[in-house]
Amino acid sequence: MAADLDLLQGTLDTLVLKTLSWGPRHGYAVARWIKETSDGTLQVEDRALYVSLHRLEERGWVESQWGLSENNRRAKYYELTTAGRRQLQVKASEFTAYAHAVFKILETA
Amino acid sequence: MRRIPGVRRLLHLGPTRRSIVRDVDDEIRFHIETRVDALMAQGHSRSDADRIAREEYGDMNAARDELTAIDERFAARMALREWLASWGQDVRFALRGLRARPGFTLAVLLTLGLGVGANTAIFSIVDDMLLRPLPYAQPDRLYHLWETYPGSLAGRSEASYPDYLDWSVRNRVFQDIAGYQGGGFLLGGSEPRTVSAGKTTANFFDLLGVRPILGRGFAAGEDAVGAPRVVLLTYGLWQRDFGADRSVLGRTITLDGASATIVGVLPEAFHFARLSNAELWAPIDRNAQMRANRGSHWLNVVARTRPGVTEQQASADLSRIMRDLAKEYPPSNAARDGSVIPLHDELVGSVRSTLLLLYAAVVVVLLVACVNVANLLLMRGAHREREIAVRVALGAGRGRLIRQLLTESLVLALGGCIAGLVAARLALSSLAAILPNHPMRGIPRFEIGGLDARVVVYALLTSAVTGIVFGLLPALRLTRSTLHDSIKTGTRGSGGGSMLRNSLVVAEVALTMMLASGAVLFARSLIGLLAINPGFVPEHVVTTTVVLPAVRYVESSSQAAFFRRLLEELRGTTGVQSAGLVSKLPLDFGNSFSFSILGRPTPEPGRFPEASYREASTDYFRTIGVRAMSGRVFGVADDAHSPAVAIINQTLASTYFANQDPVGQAISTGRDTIRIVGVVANVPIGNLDEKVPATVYLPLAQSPERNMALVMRTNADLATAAAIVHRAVSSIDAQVGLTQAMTMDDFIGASPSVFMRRLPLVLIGAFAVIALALAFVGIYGVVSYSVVQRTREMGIRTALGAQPRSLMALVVRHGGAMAAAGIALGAAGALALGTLIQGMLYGVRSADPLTYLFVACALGVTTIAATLLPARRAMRVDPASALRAE
Repeated sequence: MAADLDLLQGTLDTLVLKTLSWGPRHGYAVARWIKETSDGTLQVEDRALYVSLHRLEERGWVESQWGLSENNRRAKYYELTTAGRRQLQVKASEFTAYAHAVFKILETA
Repeated sequence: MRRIPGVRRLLHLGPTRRSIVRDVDDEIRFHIETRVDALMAQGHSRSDADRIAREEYGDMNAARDELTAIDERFAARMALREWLASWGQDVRFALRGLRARPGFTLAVLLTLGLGVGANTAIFSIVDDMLLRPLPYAQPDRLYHLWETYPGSLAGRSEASYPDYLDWSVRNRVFQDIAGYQGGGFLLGGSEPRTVSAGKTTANFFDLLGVRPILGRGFAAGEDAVGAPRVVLLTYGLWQRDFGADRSVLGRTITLDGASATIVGVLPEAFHFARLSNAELWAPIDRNAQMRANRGSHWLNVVARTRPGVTEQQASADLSRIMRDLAKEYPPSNAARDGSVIPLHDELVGSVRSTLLLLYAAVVVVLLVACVNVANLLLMRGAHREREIAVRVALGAGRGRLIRQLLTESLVLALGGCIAGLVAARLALSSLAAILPNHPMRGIPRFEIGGLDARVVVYALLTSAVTGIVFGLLPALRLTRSTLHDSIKTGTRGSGGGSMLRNSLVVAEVALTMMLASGAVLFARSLIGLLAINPGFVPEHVVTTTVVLPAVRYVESSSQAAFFRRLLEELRGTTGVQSAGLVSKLPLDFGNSFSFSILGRPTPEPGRFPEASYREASTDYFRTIGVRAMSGRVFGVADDAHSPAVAIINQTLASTYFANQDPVGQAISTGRDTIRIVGVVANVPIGNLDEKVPATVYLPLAQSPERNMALVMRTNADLATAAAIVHRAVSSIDAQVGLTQAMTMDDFIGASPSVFMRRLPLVLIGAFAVIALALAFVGIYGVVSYSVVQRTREMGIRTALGAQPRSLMALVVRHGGAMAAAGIALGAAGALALGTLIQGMLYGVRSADPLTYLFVACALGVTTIAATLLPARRAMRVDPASALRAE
């Protein structure tokens, strides 16, 4: 499980950044969006998403702020920083190139 | 999303551990609760929803720990970044504040610049001369060896060559022993000039661990009698005279008319303090007879102990050898012992206490400067009490405020450091100008180095400590003042501060009092010293040393012939009243011999009386103005063919011929019997303030030397006189060298006993003047500040009918009280510390009441003067406007 988490972490970070690229949202929204958009394919614990969010904040790619949620609860909102936006671009193009390479090998086989 | 601005963030407070844990918990709870709501909306029961939400989330405890750890790391990093950023902010804020008050800033920078500058300058000398180890390999194992002898005039003497050889062979404690002596050469060339040189045994440089940067050192055997002559150039001579040419090796130069081969060049950093002006180094060149004579003491000896040998062990071993030698060679060695002195002590010991005194004096100057800066900061702080109170009221923490104020002090200190380094640079170059450029007996050359890294670090540390200590004081005081005290309008500055300011000024005056009385004590010593009747008339006497090239003037007769012709030549020259020659000038210790008196029982070996001796020409006594007491002076008839004669000084006459006329008596040096023909007045030999020892003068014509000092009484100025001598010398022999001519007055002024009073006088005097100026500024500042603060009080007093004079008296009394307290404290301090400098004074007690009275008056006048301007301002306070200002 722990190994899985580590392996996933890089990808997960990129996904979280992508989720935040449409605007600030709290951790719950991020988790739901990733799970629903992937149609349940990404079976990842919510805990891993939060770890990702906090680590992104530590690296300065994401900023957090307490706010009020739709249901009037105190919630921690995350927002991309300029550096985070740049990081997302870098990671996204890296990942696309990587995926292309993998597909290419798989298709020739 | 509506944002809730965090209260902590609003107040610019960083997260705490507790707030981090709470936030993490809140975030997890929000997630679970929201998820449970959503699941229940889909029709799950609460308990089902709760289970599913927790399963989806994963290990909540692990998550909590992990998230907390990440956030704590993040918070710590943010805090550091914020802290650094706010430092920058503080620095910018401080700079802006300082620029806004140029007068204050300039006063502080000037004060610190003087204090730090004086301190750094003296430190660089102390560092060069005392703190740094000698520039030789393992210098703590190096010692200087002396022979000691109870009857000797100097207390100790150089070693005889045979004794040196025996020390080398018989000792059990030294790894190596080497010898050296100072000397000079006539360096040949189109214009021959005299150069100072060191002459050493072949192993000297190996022993010190000094390797030539070019070529080689002396090889074993090159110091033997008759060995081919070789020479090592100092770096300076190589640069100046040889254009740093690397092909000088193997080239020959002419020394004293004979050629010598250059075998190496010494490193730039090499110097040997006892022969600091040596320009080249050669092997010792004494003849075989001198080297065989156990009674002839001319070799200075340095030794390196074996590892682990202590000074006591070395000393005991040398004494053991000397005891053996005394038994084996009683005529020359009876009662002789040896002494072992660490080389560093030998080289700088004579100036250590003076340097430490100077250092103590500059520390006092620095303290005075610090006090002034603290006072300036306090007064500036008082102006800002409102500003600070407002900031406290707005929630600024005390620590944060102290930091802000400290930053200001540190910025000032850094500026002061830079100003100080500039001042130190200037001080050192002007110091170089007052130091003599010729070597003095027993005093190492003062090395005026540059401001190297160590010195700069010292200046930085000094400034930083100053900034912290004296910035903290006002900072603590300011931030302690309670809110309502200062915010209340109308009270400008609280009364408590004036007490502190006043005590600082008192301290300043006290420190100045101590410095100034020290300076005056040295001034009185110098005046006393120069007032000593030197036994001769130095005015209008010019002196230079005549050096004959050794090769062409081997025989005594040829030397005597040259000097006779020179005197004849000068005697006929217009502008020259009289001229004479002497082998050693007054104040120059010279050599000594032991003697016995004919017709009295011969003393035991080792109990012979000793006398300093020198050769003098016919007109020497008349030229230099030494009075003949009885008998006659030398005449032309006293030459190599006539019986040996001598003139003695008063000390010798009264010590050994108390009840009898010495003229007509004879003394024996063991080899010669010499008849006494006259007695002359005492002339100081060695230091001015020492008792004049027994002295014997021998006629030049009977035992000339190759180097003779010429004294010439003339009304011509120095340059003209030097030209006259040069013309006379070169008309006889162009290859004869002359040293730089100087007036006899300058010669006395540059003698060690005078110099060692003048140096502290000049420096401590300068420090006292600086301190006085600072104290003046300090008193002026404090008094005028208090006048400003008391404007309202003055106004009321005037309105109530007080006379302007009484207001003025009020202000002057304030300054006067501080001055009186400071003078009293300073006098007590000076009295307590005065005993420490008693040994350096001459003719005045350290507790001299006249000195204290004088300094107290000077300080009193200065302080009163400092209060006059503010006092006049107090007199002119217009009651109406003073009251309206409120």
